[in-house]
Amino acid sequence: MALATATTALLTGLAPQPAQAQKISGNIANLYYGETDRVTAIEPVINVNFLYEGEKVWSNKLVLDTLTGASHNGAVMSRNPQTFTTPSGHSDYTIGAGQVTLDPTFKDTRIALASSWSQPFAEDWEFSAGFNGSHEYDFLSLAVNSTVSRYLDRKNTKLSMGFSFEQDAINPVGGAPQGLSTMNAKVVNGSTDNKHVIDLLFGATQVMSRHWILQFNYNLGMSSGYMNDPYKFTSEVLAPTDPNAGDPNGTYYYDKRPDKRIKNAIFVDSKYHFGIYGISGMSYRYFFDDWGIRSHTIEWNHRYFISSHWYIEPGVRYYTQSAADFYRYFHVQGDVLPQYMSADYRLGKMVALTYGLEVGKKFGSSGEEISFRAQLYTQSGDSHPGSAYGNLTAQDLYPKLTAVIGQVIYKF
Amino acid sequence: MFGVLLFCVGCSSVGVEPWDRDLLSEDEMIFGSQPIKKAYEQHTYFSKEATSGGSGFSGGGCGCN
Repeated sequence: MALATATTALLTGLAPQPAQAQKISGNIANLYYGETDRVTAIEPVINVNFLYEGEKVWSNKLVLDTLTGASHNGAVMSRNPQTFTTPSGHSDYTIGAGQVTLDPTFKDTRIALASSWSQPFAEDWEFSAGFNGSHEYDFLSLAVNSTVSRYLDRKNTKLSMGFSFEQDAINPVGGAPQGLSTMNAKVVNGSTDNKHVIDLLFGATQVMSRHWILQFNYNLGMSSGYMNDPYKFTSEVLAPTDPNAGDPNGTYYYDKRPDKRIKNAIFVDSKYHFGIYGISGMSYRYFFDDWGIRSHTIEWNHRYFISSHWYIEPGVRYYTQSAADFYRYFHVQGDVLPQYMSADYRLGKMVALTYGLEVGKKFGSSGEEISFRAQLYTQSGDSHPGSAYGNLTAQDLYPKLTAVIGQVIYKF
Repeated sequence: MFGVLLFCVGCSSVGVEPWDRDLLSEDEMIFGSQPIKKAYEQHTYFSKEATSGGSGFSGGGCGCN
C-alpha cells in the first residue's frame, strides 16, 4: 500500500501540467516538395514546447504529410509501350515508348505524433525520453527513445548516449508481395508484414573557443524484417543474342532485399561564429552498411545578418552514394535469378546536390522568428551503364530527378 | 576534425569560462536549435536516398515510397 502511494505520488509529480509551464514556445511550419513530373508533398507541422522550472521541457509535435503524383516503379524505359498492373491488381496503366516508368496511382496521407520529456538529473546530467507514432495508408510505425547526457569541464564538453526502438507494420495495397515473384503471377505473403529498427547514438560536443563548437556522433542502426519495397519491380529484358536484345519481355520481378541491415554513420558538425560576418556551419557524414552502400555527405551554410533583424542563409549539400550489392538496372532473361534484387533508383549509384537560400526575420529579443527557404534538389546517376546492351543503350536507365523545395517556419 | 575533437574532449586547454559564452548562446550556435528544419531535411533525404542517421537516429518512421 505504501509503495503504491509512493509510486502514484512520483508519477503525479512527473506528469506535465501545461498550465504550470513557465514558458510556452514552438513552431508552426509548412513544407512543399515538388518533383518534376513525379511526387508532390505538402507537410504542415505544429510543435509546442512547455518549459518548466528546473529546465524541464515537454515537447510535442504533430505532422501531416500528403503525397500525390507519380512514383518510379523501377522498370527500365523501353522503345515500346509497357503496361503494368496497379498495386491493388484492379487496373492497369500504360507507359508510352521512351517514357519514364512512373506509377501514376501514387497517393498517400501520413499523420505523425511525437512527444518527449527532458530534464536535468543530478549535477551535470540530463535525461530525455520520448515516443513517436506515425500512420499512413499502408504503414504504421511506433517508436520509443531515450538519451542520457553528461557535462564535463565547465560544461564545455557534453557526452551523450541514446537508444531508440521502432516497430513498423507494413500493409501494402494488394498485400505484401513475396520478393522475386512476378507482377503477372504475384505471390502475396499476407496482408501485413513487419520490421523493427534498433538505433544507438553516441555523441560528443566540445566547445573549442568562444567562436567555435564541434560535435561528433556515431550512429548504429540495426533493422530486421520486411524491407522490400512492395511497389517496385525489376524488368527482365531479352538476352544479347535475341534479335530485340535489351527489350523488356513483359516479366517484372518484385523487389527482394535482405531481411536484415546494419547501418553505421559517422557524423561531424562544426559551427563557427565570425562576429559581424555571420555564422558558418559545416558538416560531414560517412555512412556504410552491410548492403554494400557507402555514402559521403557534405553540407555547408552561412547565416549573415543584413540588419539587426533580417538575415540570409545560403546553403549547399553534396551527397554521393555507391549502389547496394543487389541493385540491378535490369535482369537478363536466361540468367539465374540472384538471391536479392532491386531496381529501386534510391539504392543505385548516384550524386545529389541541394542548393538553397533562406531568408528570415527575428522579432526583437522574444525569440519570435519567421523564415522562408527555397531549395533546388537534383539527383543523377549513370544513365548509360556499361552493362546496357542492344536496345537498352538508347534508353536513359537512371532518369534525372529534380525537385523544388519550399519551406516556411514561424517560431514563437 | 574528428581527431581534433577526440583529443580535445575533456581537455581543459580548450573551452571557455561561463562568462565567455555570449556568442555560443546564440541560437545559430546551438546544435539542435532548429528541430523542424532538421526534421524536414531528414524526411526528404530519407525518402530519396539510401542512407540516414548521423545527426540523429536512423529510423524513418514512415513508408516513404
